[in-house]
Amino acid sequence: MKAEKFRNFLIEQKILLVILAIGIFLSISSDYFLTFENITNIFQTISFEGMIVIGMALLIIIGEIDLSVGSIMAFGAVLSVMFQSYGVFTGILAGVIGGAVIGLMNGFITTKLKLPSIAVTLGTMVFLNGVVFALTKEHTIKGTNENFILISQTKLFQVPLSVIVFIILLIIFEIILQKSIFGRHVFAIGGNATASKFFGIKVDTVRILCFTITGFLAGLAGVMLAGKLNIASGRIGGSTAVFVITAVLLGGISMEGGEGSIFKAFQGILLLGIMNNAMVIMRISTFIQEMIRGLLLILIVVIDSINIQKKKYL
Amino acid sequence: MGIKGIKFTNILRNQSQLIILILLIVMFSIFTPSFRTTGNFVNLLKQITVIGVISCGMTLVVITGCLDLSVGSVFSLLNLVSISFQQRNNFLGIIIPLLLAVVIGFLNGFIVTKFKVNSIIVTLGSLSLYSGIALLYTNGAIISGVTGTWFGVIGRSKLLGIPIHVYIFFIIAIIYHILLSKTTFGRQIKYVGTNTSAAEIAGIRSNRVRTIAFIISSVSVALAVLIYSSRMTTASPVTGVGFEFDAITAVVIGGTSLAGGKGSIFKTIVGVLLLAIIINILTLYNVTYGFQNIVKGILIIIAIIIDVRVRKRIES
Repeated sequence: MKAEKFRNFLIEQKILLVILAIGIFLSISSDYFLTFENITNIFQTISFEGMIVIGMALLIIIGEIDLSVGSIMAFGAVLSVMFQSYGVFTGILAGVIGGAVIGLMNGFITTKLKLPSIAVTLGTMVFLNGVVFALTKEHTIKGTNENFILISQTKLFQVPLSVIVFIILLIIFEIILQKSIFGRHVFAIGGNATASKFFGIKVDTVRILCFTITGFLAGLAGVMLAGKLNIASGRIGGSTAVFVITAVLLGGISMEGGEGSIFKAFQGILLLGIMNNAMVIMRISTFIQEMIRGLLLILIVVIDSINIQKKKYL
Repeated sequence: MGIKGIKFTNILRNQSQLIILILLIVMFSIFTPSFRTTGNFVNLLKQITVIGVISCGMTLVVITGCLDLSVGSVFSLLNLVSISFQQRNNFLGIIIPLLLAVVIGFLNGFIVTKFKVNSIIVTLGSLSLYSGIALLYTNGAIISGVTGTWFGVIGRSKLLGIPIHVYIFFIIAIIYHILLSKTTFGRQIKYVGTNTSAAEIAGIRSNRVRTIAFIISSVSVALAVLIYSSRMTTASPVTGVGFEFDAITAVVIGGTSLAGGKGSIFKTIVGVLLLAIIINILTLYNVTYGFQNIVKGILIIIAIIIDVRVRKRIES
C-alpha cells in the first residue's frame, strides 16, 4: 500500500522530479547554474510568459484556448510605451486595460457567437499584430518617460519586481481556482459544460471572465517586458503562444479540460525556463532552441492525447 | 431540411463571394485609374500564384476538418533546400523539395490522425520546428542559386504577355478541382470532414484520407516553392513567414467552412483573388503592412462568423 502511494506520488509529481534531476545535473556540470544570479535570471526570464501561463491554464481547464496572447503582449507593451508620457502609472494602466479589453473581446465573440476559440483567437492574433505594426509604424518605439524603466530596476531583497509580481499572481490565482466559487465553476464547465448549465452556472460569463483574465495578464506581461528596456515593437510575442501552451501542457494540464492547477502550470513553465537556461549555458544556438520548442510541443500533445485515450477505454 | 434548400443556399453563398469580387473589380476599375491598367492586373495575377497554390492544398486539409499552420515555415525550409540543391543540379533543386514535402506532410498527418491530436496545436509545433531548421540550414543567411540555367527560365518567361507561372497556377488549380470534385478521393475527403465516424462506418479509412490531405498540402507548398525559387533564384529562412495566415484567410473568405465537410477549389480561387485585390488596393493607396494585417484579421473573423451563421440557418 505504501509502495503504491509512493509510486502514485512519483507519477503525480513527475515534472517536479524532472526539474530536480535537470537541476542537479546542471549544478554539477556548471558552476554558474546554482548561483543566486542565475536562479533570479531564470525566474525573471519566465516571469513575463509565466503571467500569461496562469491565464492560459484557466482557459485550458475550462476547455478553451487563446492563440492571440503573443499579440496581446505586444499590444500591451506598445500601449504602455505610448501612454507613459502621461505618467508611468497611466502607461501601465493603458497596457493592462488594453490587454483586458482584447481578452473581453475574444471571450465575447467566442461565447456569444458560439465560435471555436481556437479560430477566433487566430483571427485576433493576426488582427492585433496588424494593429501593433500600425501603431509603431513598423519600427521599434522608445519610451519618453525615464521613470518607466523603474519597473524593471526596482528590486526587493535583490529580487526583480517582475518575479515578485509573478509569484504573487501565482498564489492569488491558485487560491481563486482552488477555493472560490469561480474556481469551482471553471472546473465544472471544463468537465461538462452542458451539465454545468443545467446546474445554473453562468457558463458564458465564467468563460468570458477567463478570457478577460488572460488578456489582462498578457497585457501586464507586455508592460513588464516593455519596462525592461523601455522599448516595444511588433516583433514581440511571435512565439509566445507556442511557449505558453507548451508550458501548460508540460505541467500536466490536459487539453481535455476539467482538471489542473496553477501550481502544475508553474512547474511546466519552470521546466521550460530551466531548459532554456541550460541551452543558453551550453551555448546552443537560438535556432536549435526554437526547433526544440516546436518538437517539445508536438511531443507533449501526443503524450497528453495518449493519456486521454487511455482514460476513455478504462 | 430539404436537399433543395441546401443546394439553393450553397449557390447563394457561392455567388455572394463571386459577386463581391466582381463588384470590387468594377468599383475600383472605375474609381482608381492605377488599378485598371493591364500592368496592374498582370501584377495581381503574378502575386497570387505562390499563395494560390498553397491555398489550394490548404483547402483539402480544411475540408477534412483540420488546419495546417506549418505551411509558412515549410515554405521557407523548402525554398532554402531547393536553392541549395539547385546550386549543384537543377533537377535536384526540383526533386528534393518535393520528396521532402511528402515526408513533412506525412509526419503532420500521421501525428494528427494516429494520436487524435488537435491539428492546430500539432502544426503550431511543426511551425516552430521547421522555422528552427530553416534558420539552422543556412545559419540565418540568404542564399542565391545559379542564374542563367533553364531553372530560372520557367519563372521569368512570358506567354502572351502573362508570366508562365500564372498558367502553371491555373493548371494546378484545375487538377486540384478535378481531384476534389470528380474523384472518389475527393468525395472521401468531404465525407470525412462532414462526419468522421459515419465515414468510417461506411468503410472510409479516415486517418489515411486525412494524412493524404496533409501530404497534398505540403506538396502544394513545394510546388509554390518551385514557382518562387524559379522566379527569384534566391532563398531566405524567413520567406514564408505569415504565409499560413494568408492561405487560411484566402480559404476561409472564399467560403470553405473551417468546420470541415464543405468547400471547393473554385471558392478558394475566389478567396485568393478577393484577398489579393483588397491588398492590392491597400498598396495602391499606400496603406502600410500593419493595416493590411488588420484587414486580414478582420476578414478572418467576419468569414468565420458568416460561416457559422449560414451553417446554423441550414441546420434549423
